[in-house]
Amino acid sequence: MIKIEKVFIVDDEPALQFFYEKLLTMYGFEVVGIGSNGIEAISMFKSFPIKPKVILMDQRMPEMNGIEASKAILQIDNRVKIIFISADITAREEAISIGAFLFIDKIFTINDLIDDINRAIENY
Amino acid sequence: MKVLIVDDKKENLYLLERIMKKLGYEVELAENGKQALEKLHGDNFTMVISDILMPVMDGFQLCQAVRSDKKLKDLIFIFYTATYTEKEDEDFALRLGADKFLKKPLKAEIFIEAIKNLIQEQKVNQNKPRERIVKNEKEIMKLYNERLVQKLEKKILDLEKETFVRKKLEKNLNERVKELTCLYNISNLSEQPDISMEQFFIKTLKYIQQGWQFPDETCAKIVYSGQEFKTENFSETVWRQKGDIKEFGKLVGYLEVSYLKEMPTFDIGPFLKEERNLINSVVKILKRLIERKKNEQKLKESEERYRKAFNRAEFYKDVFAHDISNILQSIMSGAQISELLFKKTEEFKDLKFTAQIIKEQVNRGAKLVSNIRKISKLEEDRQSLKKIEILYILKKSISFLKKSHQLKKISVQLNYAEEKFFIKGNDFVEDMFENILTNAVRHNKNLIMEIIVKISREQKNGLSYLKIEFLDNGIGVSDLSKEKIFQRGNSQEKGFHGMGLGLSLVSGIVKDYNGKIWVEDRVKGDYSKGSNFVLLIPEVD
Repeated sequence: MIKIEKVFIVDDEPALQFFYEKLLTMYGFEVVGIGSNGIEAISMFKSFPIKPKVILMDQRMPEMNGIEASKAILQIDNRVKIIFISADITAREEAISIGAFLFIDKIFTINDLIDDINRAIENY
Repeated sequence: MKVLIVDDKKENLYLLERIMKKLGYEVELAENGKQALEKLHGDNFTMVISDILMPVMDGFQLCQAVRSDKKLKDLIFIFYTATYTEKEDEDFALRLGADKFLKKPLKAEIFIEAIKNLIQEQKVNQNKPRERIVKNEKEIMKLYNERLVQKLEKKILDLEKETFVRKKLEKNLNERVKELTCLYNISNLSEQPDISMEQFFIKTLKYIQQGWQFPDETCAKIVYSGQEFKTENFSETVWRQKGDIKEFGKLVGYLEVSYLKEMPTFDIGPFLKEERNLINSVVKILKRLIERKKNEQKLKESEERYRKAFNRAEFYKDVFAHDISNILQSIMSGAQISELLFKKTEEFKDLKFTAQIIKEQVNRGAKLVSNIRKISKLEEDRQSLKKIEILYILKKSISFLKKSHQLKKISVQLNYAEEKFFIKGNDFVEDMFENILTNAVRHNKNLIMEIIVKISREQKNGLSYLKIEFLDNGIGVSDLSKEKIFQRGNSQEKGFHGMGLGLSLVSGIVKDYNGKIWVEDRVKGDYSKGSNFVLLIPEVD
């Protein structure tokens, strides 16, 4: 039986939340949750009984940004692969330096994203 | 022919030597009577030209000695004097046997003329022996002493006069030094880059006091732009002088210097004319400083405006780039998902929803562009405000909201007591309502999005306000963000965003209407139950 990989989505943009979820489901991933900001993301991540292997992380969000949230999440589980998706390329270096797996610039295509998620899972 | 010139001053000797040589004489020089006698005895001379006042042996004594000497008594003897110039001096000289008495200074041609004439006379009277008129040694001594005493008295008198003049000059010099010091200090003060106007005025007054003839009795004040600065001892008196302070040609104040009591009369009233000049100079420095300060201020303001404008532009650019990226990403993902869904037509509902999202994102993009345009227009030209009925506009905005979010279930309840409400507004009223309403829908995860709009009246400080509340069941605004969401042009707040530019625009419009906007929790203490955006705008009848 093929193992269904778990992915956690963190983005404040409702349209993107819908698309990411739809897309990942169509490609056979399990979306374990959708967080709308950094603080929500941390508390949701804590609550997952089985931690997802991949997080799609937005950088700019209200309350707490992706970098801060990622720092806290990596403290809880340093194996999780965090893929940053942001138009704000100024955050790229910092994201990588705190231990993010990848930084994807908006605007990307679905194929690219699926490839990147699969790569992250291979590296898990 | 040989001539002996006797003078204790080198420059006189030099001058006469040149003149006499030009006339064809052989010239010998002596510095006093004693030296002259020695030279006369040592050689054959035709003529002696002698000064009177000299050390060791003066001209009178020399003349007497020459005329008493058998060998020398026929010499032509000329006095050329600067000090013994009285009629009595000349008389005595001639009585001693001098041939000519010339007073210094003489122009060279006149001197030459006199010498030539004398030579001519000598030729005519060649056979007449020259002798001194006074034979009696005692009488000569008496006359000589008289000349000396008289000279001495005159010297003393001159000295007194000179002392008086010198003292006056010294006092004047002293005053000028004080005035210069005063100007120098004030000028230095004005060069200090960070001195405030107040500090400058106060210190200037102190320097002026010190620069005046009678510092202890001097007081001064500066009046500038309705403010008065005075020396501690200031008191209004009649002995005063004033200088106008101008700023870019406009009269903005004056400097006044007064004496506390009546003072001896000087050039202008009790003042020196230099003090008048000093006031004028100080006033000019004041003018320059004030104008410099004003220019610096203008530059500062302009820099500040530029900085603000720059920050705003950066902020808008930032928001624009971020939101546009999200919008484009949504459209891109939506289009690609549509393709995938077309292959599995059983997921028709999702396909329809995706298409709706794409349309929404396009609308959102258009709205972002429009908001950016409007914000910059709002800042550029303040539109004049006119009386506007807002209920009609509010209803229009609500129907626009529903039309542009057709797939969403939006319920808007409008509560009001009257049919018409007026405020002083402009074309932006519609944008104000639309942005608040769109915001309530955009940040809402519920299946049914509920919005309640309430219009009521509120009295505040004797003014009547319209209170318009927008209650929603959206995700709410945490206390941390309640103020930030309205801040505009603050690109330092990169960590915070999510509201696009809508609320920035609303906050700018409300400010223009002299109103206020803030956000409360719909359910007090639990922001996650939704927000209440409150507008308070002055009502007009």
